[in-house]
Amino acid sequence: MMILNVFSITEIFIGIISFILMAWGGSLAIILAIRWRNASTVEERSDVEKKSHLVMLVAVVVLGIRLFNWPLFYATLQSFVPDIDGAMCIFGVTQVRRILTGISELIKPVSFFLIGGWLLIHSLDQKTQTSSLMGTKLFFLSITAVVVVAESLLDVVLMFQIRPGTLVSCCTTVTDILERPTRLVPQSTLGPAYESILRYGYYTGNIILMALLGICMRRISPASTPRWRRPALGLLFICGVGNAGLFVLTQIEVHAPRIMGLPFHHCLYCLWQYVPDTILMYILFILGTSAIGWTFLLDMVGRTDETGDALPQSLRRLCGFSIFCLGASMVMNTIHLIAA
Amino acid sequence: MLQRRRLVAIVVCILVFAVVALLGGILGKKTGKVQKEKTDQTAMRCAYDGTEISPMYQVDAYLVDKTTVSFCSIYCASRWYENNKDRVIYFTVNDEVTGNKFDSTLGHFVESDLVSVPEVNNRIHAFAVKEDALTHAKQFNGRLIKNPFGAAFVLPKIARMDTLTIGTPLVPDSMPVRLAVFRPIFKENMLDVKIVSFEGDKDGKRLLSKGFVDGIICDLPTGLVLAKGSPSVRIVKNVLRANPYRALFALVAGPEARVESVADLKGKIIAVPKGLSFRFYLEYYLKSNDVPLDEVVIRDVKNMAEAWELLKNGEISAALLRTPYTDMAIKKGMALLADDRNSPWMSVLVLKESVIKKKFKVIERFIFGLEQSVLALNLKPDDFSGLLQEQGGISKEWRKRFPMPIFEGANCPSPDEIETILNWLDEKGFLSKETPYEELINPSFLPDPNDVGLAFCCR
Repeated sequence: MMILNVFSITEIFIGIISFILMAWGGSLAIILAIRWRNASTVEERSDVEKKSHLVMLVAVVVLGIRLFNWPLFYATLQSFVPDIDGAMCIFGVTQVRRILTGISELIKPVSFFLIGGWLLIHSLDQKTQTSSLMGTKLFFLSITAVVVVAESLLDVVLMFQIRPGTLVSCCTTVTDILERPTRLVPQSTLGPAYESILRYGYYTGNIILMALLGICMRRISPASTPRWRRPALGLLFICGVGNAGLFVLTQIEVHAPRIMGLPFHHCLYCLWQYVPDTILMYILFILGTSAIGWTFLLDMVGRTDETGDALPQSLRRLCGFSIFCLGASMVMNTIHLIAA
Repeated sequence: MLQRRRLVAIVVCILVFAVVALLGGILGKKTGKVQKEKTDQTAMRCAYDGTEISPMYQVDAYLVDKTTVSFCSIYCASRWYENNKDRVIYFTVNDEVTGNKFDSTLGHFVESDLVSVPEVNNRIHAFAVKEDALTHAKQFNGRLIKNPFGAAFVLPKIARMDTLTIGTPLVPDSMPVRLAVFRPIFKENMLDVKIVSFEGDKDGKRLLSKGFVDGIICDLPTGLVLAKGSPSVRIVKNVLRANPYRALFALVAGPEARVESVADLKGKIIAVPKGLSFRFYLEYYLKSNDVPLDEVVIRDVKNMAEAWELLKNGEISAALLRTPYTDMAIKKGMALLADDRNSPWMSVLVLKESVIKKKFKVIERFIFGLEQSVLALNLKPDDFSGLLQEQGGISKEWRKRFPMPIFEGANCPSPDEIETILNWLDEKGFLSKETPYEELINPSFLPDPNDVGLAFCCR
């Protein structure tokens, strides 16, 4: 027996459709990628291009939908809370099939990043005359398809595995104990005043990152492709990942309890439940951080003779988008802390 | 121009996000977070982790700033307490058998396989009665554990409590004091009140003279005599008064005694428990029915339970009984030959004069707490029937059917009300009827009834 509601039905439907279409699209993409590589004449390449139209169309639609599957996945888990005995938030639901849900939760950001990256490569390729990014695009699609297929399969299996009436313990018994890793690690490395260090670290990290992105944005120009660009964007991506870690740690240990008005409760799922607009804050932060990664990815795979003008423009836009998202997320967080 | 437009759009977007966050923060405070009071729309949430509170397992903490916070379980409350030791005056927990809220320091705690609040995997259960705790432990593979809030509850420095020890007989009259300790109303008034149970006037007097107690609950005649005794005491408050529907003292005829009036008792045996008050009531009832004392056979018995047994078994014709036995006699269909339903007498609280002088402000708070307890008992008698059954001195067979008495609010015996008793005491040589009123009764501690509201723990 499974929990049937509008969310779980949608999740299963999307899961099955994307599983089938991406399994087909992914396998076709790899064949086409090999044929593209082996094609030596314009006719052969044109033939591959023609055959890839449907795959691309399907991929854009399916991946576009999958992009929104991440929030839908959590909305579905939230809708299960009343049916799971002992669950007071999503954490309780994740305890029903702990490993399966854990894998699913880990695969989601990877999938989101790959899908976003592929859609950006595709959009950049659309701006070229001869589809100079076709090979990369097809190859990247096949990798993305593997992840999306796995994700879809996991989603569907999970929906069938979460049974109503299962008895679980919720977040308090894990996130609020003194031995929780999110407390022990920073305390042992930063000392007893770790909370205020995290608090300042969050703002410092975000502001520095936004400043670096701003500098990058101003320096990237269509006129030249300096050698520093790729390492700089790579470094920014690493900083972005580090900043994301700091963000999560600060949220769990410092900000979430304060925003919720529950000074000893450190569950982010409860935060989304009690103060739902923080979900927007998290989405903005995820988009901002992902955009840094996409900038690096696009620069890695998007450099061709034909993208000389379009690539720097896309990179600048992505940097700007990232600054905007990180800034908006920080503003929301600050307002919440003041209002708390 | 385009750049400027874009900049304006970005600023507007960020402003929109800021407004969303502000609204979210404000609305979150109103709906999602901890609720101080339960409303019809929203359930109360745990102050530790926001879990919805099930009233059966609710734990409340009363804080030094006179506010309360509620928790979903003992698990959450004890975790919260680790970081708030300097804020809590008391915790109340719910007895899992009766659902009654009571002071956690009086509880018996069991850790068992049974999960009461699955959200936090709470396996600690609270019981007011040790037998219930042991039964639960046996049923659910549990063991008795120490109080999770600490074996010795340490109060914050700014919340030091004054202490008082009160002697109470095992009769329903003791309920206001017992409830104020059980709930704990006295602790809300920064008082640590200990109860010493006793039986009979003699025992009560002994406790007073040995200094084991600061005051006792007794009947009015006894209270008046004690006032001029050693140590000297003062009547400070009425406790339980007879009313037109419920007698306090009654002369009860046995079921097979064939006695229909007091006059029929001539030559018959009457069982009278030891004590001055019983003697007064007996003589008063006989005299008011023109039956000379020497025309009845008085059998002195140790206590009311003995008199009740003799009466039930038909070994005597009548007995002088007091509540709760008078109520039991009525329920059993026995005839009340004479009673005090229309008399102005009551049981009273007496306090040592030395204590009154030394702890005037403490007594004021004590009487105020007692008034809060009386208010709670009179307003919600059903809520506290479990406590009455356990601690009201009612025999097991009658417990379930025994209704809560109506206790008297802020009042002291008036000069008119004590006149008859004073005359009798004078006649018997116990106390001069010329004794000034103020040497017997001190009404100065009585609060204005309008100022007395329900204690937090009873709301």
